[in-house]
Amino acid sequence: MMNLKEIFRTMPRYLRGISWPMITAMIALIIIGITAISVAEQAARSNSIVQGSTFKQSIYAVLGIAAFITAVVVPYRRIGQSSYILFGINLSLLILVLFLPPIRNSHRWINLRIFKVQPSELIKITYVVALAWYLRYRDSYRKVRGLILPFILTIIPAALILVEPDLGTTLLLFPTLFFMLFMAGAKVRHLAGVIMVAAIVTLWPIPLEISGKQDALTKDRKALAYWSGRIGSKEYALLAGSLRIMKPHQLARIVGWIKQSDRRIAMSKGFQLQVSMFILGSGGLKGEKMTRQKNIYFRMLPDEHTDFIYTIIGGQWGFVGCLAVLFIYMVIFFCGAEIAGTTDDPFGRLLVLGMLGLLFSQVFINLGMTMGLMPITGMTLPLISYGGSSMVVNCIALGLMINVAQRRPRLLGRKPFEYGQTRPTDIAALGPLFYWSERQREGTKNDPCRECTTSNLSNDAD
Amino acid sequence: MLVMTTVIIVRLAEVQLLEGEQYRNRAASLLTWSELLPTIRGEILDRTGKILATDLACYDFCLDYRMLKGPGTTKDDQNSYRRWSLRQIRKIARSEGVSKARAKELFHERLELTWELSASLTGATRNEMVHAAENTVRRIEAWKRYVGMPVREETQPQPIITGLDEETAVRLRSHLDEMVGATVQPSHRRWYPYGKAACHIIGYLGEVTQAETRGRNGSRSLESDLTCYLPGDLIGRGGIERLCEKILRGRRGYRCLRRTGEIIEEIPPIVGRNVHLTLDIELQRKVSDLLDKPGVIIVLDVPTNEVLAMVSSPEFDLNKFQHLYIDLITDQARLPLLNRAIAGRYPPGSTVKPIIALAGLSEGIITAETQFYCKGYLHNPNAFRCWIWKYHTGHGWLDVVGGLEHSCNVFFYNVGERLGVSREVKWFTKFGFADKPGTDLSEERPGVVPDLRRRYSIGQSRHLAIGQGKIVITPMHIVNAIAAIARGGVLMSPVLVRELANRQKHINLGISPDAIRLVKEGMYKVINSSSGTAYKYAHVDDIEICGKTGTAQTPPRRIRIDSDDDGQPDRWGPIVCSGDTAWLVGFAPYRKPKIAFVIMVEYSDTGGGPRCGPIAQRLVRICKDFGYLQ
Repeated sequence: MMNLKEIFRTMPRYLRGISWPMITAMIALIIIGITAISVAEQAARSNSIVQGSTFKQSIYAVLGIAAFITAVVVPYRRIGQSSYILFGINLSLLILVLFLPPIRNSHRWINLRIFKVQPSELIKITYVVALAWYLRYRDSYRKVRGLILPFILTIIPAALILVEPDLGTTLLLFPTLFFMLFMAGAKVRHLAGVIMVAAIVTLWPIPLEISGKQDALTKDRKALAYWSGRIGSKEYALLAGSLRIMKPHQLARIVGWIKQSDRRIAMSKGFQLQVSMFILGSGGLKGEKMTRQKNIYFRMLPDEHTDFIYTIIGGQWGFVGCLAVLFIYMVIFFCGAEIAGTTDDPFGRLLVLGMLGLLFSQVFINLGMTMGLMPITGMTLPLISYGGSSMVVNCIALGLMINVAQRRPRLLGRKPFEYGQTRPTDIAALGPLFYWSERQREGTKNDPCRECTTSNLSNDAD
Repeated sequence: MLVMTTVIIVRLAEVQLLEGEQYRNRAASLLTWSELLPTIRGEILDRTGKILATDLACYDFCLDYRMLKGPGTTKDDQNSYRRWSLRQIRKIARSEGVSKARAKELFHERLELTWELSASLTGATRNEMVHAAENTVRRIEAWKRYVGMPVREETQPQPIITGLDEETAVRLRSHLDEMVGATVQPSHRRWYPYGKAACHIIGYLGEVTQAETRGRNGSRSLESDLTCYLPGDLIGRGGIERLCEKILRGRRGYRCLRRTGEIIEEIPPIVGRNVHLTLDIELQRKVSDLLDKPGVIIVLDVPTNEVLAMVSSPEFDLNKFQHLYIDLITDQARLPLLNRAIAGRYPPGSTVKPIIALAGLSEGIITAETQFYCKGYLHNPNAFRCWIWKYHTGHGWLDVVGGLEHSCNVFFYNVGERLGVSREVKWFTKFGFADKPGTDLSEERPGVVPDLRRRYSIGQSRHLAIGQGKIVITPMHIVNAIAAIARGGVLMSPVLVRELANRQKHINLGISPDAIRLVKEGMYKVINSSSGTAYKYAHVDDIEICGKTGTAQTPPRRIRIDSDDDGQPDRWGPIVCSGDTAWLVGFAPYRKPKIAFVIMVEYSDTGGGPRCGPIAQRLVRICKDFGYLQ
């Protein structure tokens, strides 16, 4: 009974810290996702893999919410303490997965009979936690040399995931890293320098002899080359370095993306994107509910319930529906930003920012590829796309944010980061809302009433 | 963050709001197929409504287009071929229960076997099949280029051997599982129920040439698509099929359907209109039995000048035309493809004597009382002899009726000498010998008469008067002229197609009835007077036939040889036929002419009377049986 009393006593404090808009947004996204999947399911053929996915997604949603609650309840500092161990376990799982028999031509899944685990999904969480834990009290990343370790921390899982192969997740780790470093206060010029170097390396022109070869790979390379022509009797193409090592199907996707305006290419290599555009375009302002014509296009779109779910939303509910989804994501983002801004624990702040970076990298890459702003990579739309691992992992990410939110001081002045030398103006990059909230807080700092109610409570004293 | 959101929103607005309509339309257009439905050709009917040519249901042996095209050269082609072959291999593996590698072997074996087996089962040659395959690929590639995107035909079976009967189709079907990519599909083909009868008149179909398909490159309206010829389409290549192509062809249909199968728009094909011939196919068949050697029989209906029968022997079976074609075209001795009735030109010989007599009477050279003395030759026994000189001394004094009755050359030498070449040619031209016979068939060739810009001797005018020398005409020319005489001097062009009867020309030649009467009497006596040239051979008791025999000396036919293999014959080879052209033209009955006829046997060993007289007897009897003399 004592325990129960204790719980009742601390409960309001928990609940007060919780960011309710974020939870509402999360549930709204899950519901939208299930609805959109049911639309895809209705349109799909009876023998398609989409069949039954609405039901499964509902179960995943329940699992996801369970995972969410778990992530909320366990104190995040506790998680942080074991973050390196979790990260290590996850890395070993990633190595293990490479020795397991491939499923659908890639070493992505560990088959546990009842369900399949995707270590590369889990690494998103453990990686962010580990990185946040590592960066928490340091300022070494203010120097170039200090950036080396975080990068190594990123490159190891990235390389392991790349060999699986799962290019989408690999690419996801880097924006998250940059976002976290940036938010932690690494110097912009260092980060920009790294990006520049990476860009130069990937785009550096490499001459390649292509004379005599007429296969698809050579043609794609020629189409993407900076320059191609004859020198003497041989034909050369000047090619970006990264294109040199890409696999033919990846190259074909890039061709399909860059040459969207060419109808022949759009209908062959860029077919998936083209169909996506057809559906989005025919959605119009208010959407066009499941006409027979669109029904067929839904069928023709590969991955309609996973990676291209946003297309289905755009086709079914139009521009308005798309904006609504985007708005809900914005709500999550600003709630997260608010949590990050109000917590005084550097680990918690970095954790939240890392999760935000993770979520929004996924959102923008996914949205970008559905509407032809980016080449197509396998990337799910968090909380909406069909898929158990993705759902659980994203729920955990949100749960950790809420976790931080619960344990933040209820009212506090703006605390500088531990290095405390300069005011972190970089936060301003987050937008006007931050300025506004900061000014508000600065205003309240001198308020004696506020001051006395301010308790520097940190809720992990349980 | 905000920047990216803005980018996303802007792009969304662009795709969904600004370009939405465009994407929607493109999506809609890609979801529809348009296909052209085949034309159905009209029927050719005879005057009694019997079908001479029709589109008949049959079966086609089809091979998958990807198999016909092979791996191809472009990437798309190679991919589609690879996908297709993989699917076939999988299918084999599943149905036979063998491993993939074995299935692949089987696939390659069967690929080869398909051609051999289908060739042996249908009796087609490999060469024909390859040719058909090439044409199909050409046609579909052209269609693909025109549409600008993949077409449905690319993934469908295409007919390779067409027009198979039920039995062959069943035989093929039972072997289909030993082949790959093969199907047997129902189809339709041109069927000629009477086979050989009237083959030259009906004509035949052939695939269009590239030049004929070129017309559609200009305008690209749907209407022009439906009416134009696409590669592989059939077009009339001869006879009525060609003459009445516009009537018979009809129009192709068009169908626009969704992928789900529902039809959005459909323009049904317009079936070609039927063509009614003036021929009586039963008469034609009976009449063609009368000829056992290469020759011609034409029967005209005198009052209307409709062609009742027009036989050119030898004939060929239209239904086997494709297979026989090489034999037919290389047979230089018998020339079976030549429609002799309107395209075979022969010296008319004595058959022009009625016309010369009319010319003489009309020009005032001779009158009914004018007599010339025949002593067997004109002046000198070595030149300008009468035919009777071989047997007898001469005909003695003859007037114009006697001249015709005895076919006396000397009488007509005298007439011709007085007429002169120019007036003879004028009268030949009047009777249409310088023009085409007038049936409008594309095979028609004009007769040849002397060119008046040149000078001719008296000897030539004498020879012209007995139908020798610089005159060759087709049998249709002479029977048309005789029909004009029987009609009392009104020249009408022969009519073969009822639908084209309004083109018929009527020309009153302005000949006095007396002249006509005299000539008719002369022709009457040829067959009905005991001293007439054809009395022995052609006289029939109950029908008063009028006629005129002719035995024209004709240069022998030689084979033409292409010695340097350039495709053009350049040298005459050995003689293959020689003899005289035996004629008998006439009309019946005498008092109220109903039919005009010509019987011509080429390279005959005997004269017109003995050769054609018996045929004429039977011909007139047949016509009477059919009721054309009433």
